[in-house]
Amino acid sequence: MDDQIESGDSNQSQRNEAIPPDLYSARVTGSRETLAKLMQTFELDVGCRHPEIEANPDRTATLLVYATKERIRELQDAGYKVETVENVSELGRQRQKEVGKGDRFEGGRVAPRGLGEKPGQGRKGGSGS
Amino acid sequence: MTFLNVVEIESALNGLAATYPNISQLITLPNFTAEGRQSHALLIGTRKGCPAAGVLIISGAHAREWGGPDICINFATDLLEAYSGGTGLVYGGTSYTVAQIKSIIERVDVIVFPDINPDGRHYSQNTFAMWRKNRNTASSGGQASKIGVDPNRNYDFLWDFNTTFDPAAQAGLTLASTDPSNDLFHGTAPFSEAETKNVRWLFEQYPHIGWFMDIHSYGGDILHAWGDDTNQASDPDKNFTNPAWDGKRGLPSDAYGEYIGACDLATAASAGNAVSAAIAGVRGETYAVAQAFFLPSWGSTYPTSGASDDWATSRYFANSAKKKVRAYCVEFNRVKTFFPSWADMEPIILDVDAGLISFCLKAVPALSLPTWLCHLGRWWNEAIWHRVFPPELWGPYGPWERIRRVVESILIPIIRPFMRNFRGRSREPHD
Repeated sequence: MDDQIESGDSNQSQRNEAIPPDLYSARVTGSRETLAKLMQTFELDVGCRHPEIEANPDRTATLLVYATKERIRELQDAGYKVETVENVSELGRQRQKEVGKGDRFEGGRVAPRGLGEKPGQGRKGGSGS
Repeated sequence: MTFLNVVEIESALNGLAATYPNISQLITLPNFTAEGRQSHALLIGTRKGCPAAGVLIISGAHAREWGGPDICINFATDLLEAYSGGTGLVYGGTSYTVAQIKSIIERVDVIVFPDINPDGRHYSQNTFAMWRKNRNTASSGGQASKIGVDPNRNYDFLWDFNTTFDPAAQAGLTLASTDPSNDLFHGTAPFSEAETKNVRWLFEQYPHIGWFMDIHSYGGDILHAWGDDTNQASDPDKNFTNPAWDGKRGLPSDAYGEYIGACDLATAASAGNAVSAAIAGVRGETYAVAQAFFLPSWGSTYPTSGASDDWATSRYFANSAKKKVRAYCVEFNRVKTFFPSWADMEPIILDVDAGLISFCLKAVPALSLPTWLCHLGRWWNEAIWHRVFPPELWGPYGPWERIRRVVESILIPIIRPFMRNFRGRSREPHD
C-alpha cells in the first residue's frame, strides 16, 4: 500500500513541507463567563467533540486546550490564567514507538487474537492486536 | 503489543475474513483516499437469508485518536472467536453468554469499518502525532498548514453551518470551519471526502443498518442525537430540513429545538445506558450518556454540524422510506489524553468492546412471525432434511448424482433407437 502511494501522487510535495510546530496541553482557569469569552474570542483546539471543562471548588472552572507556545503566550498576554501541562507532540513522538512496525498479520495470513476471555477455551487472547 | 498501524488494520481484516469465511466477509470500499489508499470493512454474521438487523461501527475518523481502530479489530476478533468456539465472552466484570453471542452472529449483520481515515492515521503515527484531519490537499493552495478536512464535519447534516446556524453558535470551536487551516474544516461540499463517501456507501449498500456507532476519543461519553440544538418532541416543523429556521439553530433556550419523537429519544437514551452499564461492569469506568449538544460535565451547549451520528439519525427524518438509525458517538478514555500507552489502552479496549457487544444485543431483532418461520425453515433444513438427505450424498456433486449420470450415459444410447422407433410409429397415421 505504501509503495503504491509513494509512486507519484500529487500530495508528495506538500507532505515534504514543514511539520506543524509542537502543541502543548494547557489548563486555562477562570469563571464560567471568562471561559465562555475565551472560547468565543480565540480559535482553540479543545479536543475531539466537546471542550473538557472541570469545575473547581472555588466556583471557577478549568478548560483543557491544545496550543502552540506562541498561542499560549497570547492567552497569557490577554490576561488569562494559563498553566502549561505538557508537550503533547513530544508525548505523541514517544507513543509512536508503541505503533506496530511492519505487518504482524502478514497480509492476512495470520489472524488477530482477541483480548476478551472465552470461558472454556482455557486461555485469554491478545496475541494479535 | 503495540497500536495497529494502517497496514496491520487492513491485514487484520483480511486475516479475520480468511479465518472465519462462513461468518465474515470482507467489504471493499469504493472510494480511494487522497493518498491513494483503499479501505475495507468486515461484515460479521451468518447471513443465511432470514431478516437481520444491521449494525455499523466505524472509527479512526480523527487521526490522532489512535485507539479506535484497535478497539474495532479486537471487537470483531472476540466476536468471531467466541462464536466459532461456542463460548461466551468475558470482559472483566461484564460477561455475555453463548446464547447472546449466537443471537448477534445469527440475527444481526455487524459491519465493522475500523479505520475510515487511514491517511490521517499514517501521518499521525509517523510524522505529526496531533494530526486530526484527513490529508486531502484540494483546498490547501499548496500550503502544508491548510491540508486536510475534518471527516466528522463533512457529512450532509446542516453542513452549510453559516446559513443554517445562528452566527452566535460559536463557529470555529466545535461547530465547523470554512478555513482549511482550521482543524474543523468541513470541506468543499457535504461528502466531498472519500472517508465520508465510504461511510455513506455502506449505508446505501446495506439499507437495513439500524444502529450506528462512531468511536472517538476522549472524555468517557456516549453521545446521541441531536448535536445541533436542544431536543424537542412537540413540533415536527422545527427540524433540520426546514429553511424557515435557517440562521436560528445552535443556541439553547430559544424558539428552535430539533424535533425527535419522544419514543425515539427514550430508545436513544436506553441503548446508550445499556452501553454505559456494560462499560462500567468491566472495571468501574463511568461513561456519561448525553445528548451530543450538551457538554456532560459542564452543562453548556456545543453545537456541531456535519457530524456522522447526526447525519445517520437524520436519514430517516429526511426520507421516511429509509431505515431509522439509532446513532451514537462514544468518546473512549476518561483520562484526558489522545495518547495513552498501550498498557493503558488494553483495559480501555476491554471497556469499549463490552459496550459494543451490549450495543449489538440491543440491535438483535425481536422474533416476528416471518422471522420465526424463516428460522424454523432453516432449522428444518439443517437439522432434519440435510440429515436425512445429506447434500454431500444427494446434492449435485454427491455420489447419487454421479451414479445417476453414469446410468443415464449407459441407458440413453440403448433406449434412444427404441424411442425414435416409437415416435416414428406414433407419427405414421398422420403421415
